[in-house]
Amino acid sequence: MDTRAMRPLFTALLVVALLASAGCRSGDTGSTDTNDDLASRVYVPIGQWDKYYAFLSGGQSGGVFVYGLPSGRFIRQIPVFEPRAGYGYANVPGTESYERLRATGPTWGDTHHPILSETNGDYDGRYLWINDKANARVARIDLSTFETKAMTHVPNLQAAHGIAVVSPDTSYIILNGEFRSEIPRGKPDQRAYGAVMAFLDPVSLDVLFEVLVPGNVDINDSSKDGRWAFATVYNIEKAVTVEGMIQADEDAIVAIDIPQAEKALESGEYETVDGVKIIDPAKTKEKVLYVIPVPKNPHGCDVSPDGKYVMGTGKLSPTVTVIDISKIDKVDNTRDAIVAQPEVGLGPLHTTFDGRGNAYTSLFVDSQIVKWDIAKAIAGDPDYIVDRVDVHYNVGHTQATLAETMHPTGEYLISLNKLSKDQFLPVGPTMPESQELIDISGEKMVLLSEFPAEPEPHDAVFMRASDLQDKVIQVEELAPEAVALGEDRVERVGPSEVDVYMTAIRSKFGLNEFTVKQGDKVTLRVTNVETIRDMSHGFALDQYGINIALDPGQTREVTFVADKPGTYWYYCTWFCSALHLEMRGRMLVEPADADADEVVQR
Amino acid sequence: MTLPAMTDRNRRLAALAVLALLVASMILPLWSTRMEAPQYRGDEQLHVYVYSNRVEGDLGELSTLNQYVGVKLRLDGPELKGAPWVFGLLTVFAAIAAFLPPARSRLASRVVFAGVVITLLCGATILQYRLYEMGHDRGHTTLARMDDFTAPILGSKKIANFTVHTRPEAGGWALLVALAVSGWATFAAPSPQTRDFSH
Repeated sequence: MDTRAMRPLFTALLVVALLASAGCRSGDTGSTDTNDDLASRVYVPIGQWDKYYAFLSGGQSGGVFVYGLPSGRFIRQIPVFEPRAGYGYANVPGTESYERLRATGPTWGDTHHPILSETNGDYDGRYLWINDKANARVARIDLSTFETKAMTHVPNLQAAHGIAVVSPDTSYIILNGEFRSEIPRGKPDQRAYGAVMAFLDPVSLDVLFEVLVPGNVDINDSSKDGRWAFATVYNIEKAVTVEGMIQADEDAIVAIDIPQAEKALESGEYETVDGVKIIDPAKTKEKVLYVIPVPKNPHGCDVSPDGKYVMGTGKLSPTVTVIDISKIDKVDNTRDAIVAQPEVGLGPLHTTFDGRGNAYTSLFVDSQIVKWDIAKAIAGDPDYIVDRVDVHYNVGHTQATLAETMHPTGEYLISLNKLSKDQFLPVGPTMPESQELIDISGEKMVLLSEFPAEPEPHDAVFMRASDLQDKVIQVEELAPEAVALGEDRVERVGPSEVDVYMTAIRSKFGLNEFTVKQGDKVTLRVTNVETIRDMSHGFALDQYGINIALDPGQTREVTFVADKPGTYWYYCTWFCSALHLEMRGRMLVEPADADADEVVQR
Repeated sequence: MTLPAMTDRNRRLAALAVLALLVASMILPLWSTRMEAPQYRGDEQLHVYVYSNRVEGDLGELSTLNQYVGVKLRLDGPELKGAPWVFGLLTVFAAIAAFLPPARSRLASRVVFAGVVITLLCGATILQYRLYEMGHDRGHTTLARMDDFTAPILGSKKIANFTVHTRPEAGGWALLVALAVSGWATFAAPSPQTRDFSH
């Protein structure tokens, strides 16, 4: 055979093979749309706003990421459990945010599940709460300013994992302690290990009570009528090793009857540990806890928007267990409350909803989102799988727009993928996390786009922009302690204590300079007296590790010891104006041995 | 053009209308400027309203921005102190014209007409002077290479990064209508004879 004569054929075959492989890649989107079609569906014209706010937990970055959907544009980070100098958040002792963070634990956190305040089962745009799995904390973010306003450490639990609001009116925040340890913490004693679900006041974050739960309490949710708190539980074995935790064939979903728990509290059936009332359901005359067996080591715990079903997503089992909530306290054997257990694929982790009777389950092992028909699954119709779409790669949480409310919009879903591998330009061995946006408005899902994130979003919640945008304030109201323009001053309040009051407005600080003695404790209060939005100022001080950030109208205070003599310029760190570079002043620190009488106070 | 006959009833109605219009012009803004720029759009456009006795609007922000433009902003000119007296006096004459018997009020209405004419001319002149002064009597902390400018009393003009739009406001319109009505009351022939201005 003349191989030279065959060359054109080989070449043609090679081209066909390459084209085919390229075609496979684009075929992953689950649609026949061209890239232009897909791009136009996520494009938000310049100057226009996204339709949804997306709040993504920041994982080990310790905060919350805010994106816009459908564009996937990153808008800002809300620092919570980690200092963030750019926002002047918790980075300088003496500031409110720093003291609050330090008072509750370490200056880092591992945030997993953002949740939003509800009224009548819908988001009301007031608050967002986020857990710190690493240090058993919860924080409340005020959505009028997107700032962390409250934080608490929850006693008697380790690994604050699942967190949810109790619907429909945010009567409690519920928080799961995933890791079992002795209660109270003290001498290590495995026989005294336990785990609790904590019930918190949504605003003050006071821990109102805790309920002991068998096994490791993982993810949680509440019924839509406020009666039940649910959680998936694994490690019924009460083991302390991986091998030990996967021995039993079944673990559970637990259901806590909240009114019964409140009754138990009223009748004093609790023990106070570390200042918190703990209810042991085994010891109460009220039936507080129901245990519903599900296949081993379940993970996701999600209540359908109509409030009828709670679903335990399998993880080690390829199934989702569908439990009829209305049957839980009616059946003799809680197993009889299970109305379906559809197989969905390998490694199912979380389930979300479109409000049209479909569920969407993330498949970690299969790297897929699977759409299935809830009614068909319950009816035993084998044709309950509606669609599957490949995601890249290893999806953890998935969440559809407003799926946690009683009125999901069924428009978009994001797949929060644990690995991105080859999806973005390589930036070293560790790649960014990947989020993929999927259009779920039609029968078939359409993978629209992907966007990266800092480590490491676990879960997300969405709000319609129109439900929140007008509630966000643009200029803070001046606080009573605000420094007024023209009242900038330095006051010596003690032999070695100086209070400095200063304003900031384009393009100057109220004090061009101030003088202190070496060793003085300086309390510096700065007010940004701007009255228009986005006109932030910063105050950074050379060599003192100080950077505070001030929203328009905001006052912040910082305390430090001026222990180094010399001239220290302070300057504005938020680019504000054409004279931004000139916006600065000097702190003059007179050496300690200088005659105190010569110290000039300006 | 033939003006309606100036009956006693019409004269009194006209005088009452002029009185009401003068009171309105004392209270309502006379003139305004609206400033828009790429970063000051929609709700965030800047406004200045000139009243008979004061200037209101986004003065703080303008004063802050003025660090770069260095224009002279006179918000306390003597005209703002004098204008209430002028308006007050005009109102007194308008009241006299309205409440004296028509036969004896002719002089008062002529004074009102003349007063409104003078007020409008002087007001516009002073305003234009202030606008000229603002764009020319600039301090040393100005944007480099920005030419001096004069904002118009009426219309639009691009000044630095702003497009400035100016126009009369309700009080200014009231004053203009007062001018027309008092002109009619003054120059229309007394009834029953009708003076025809079209000849």
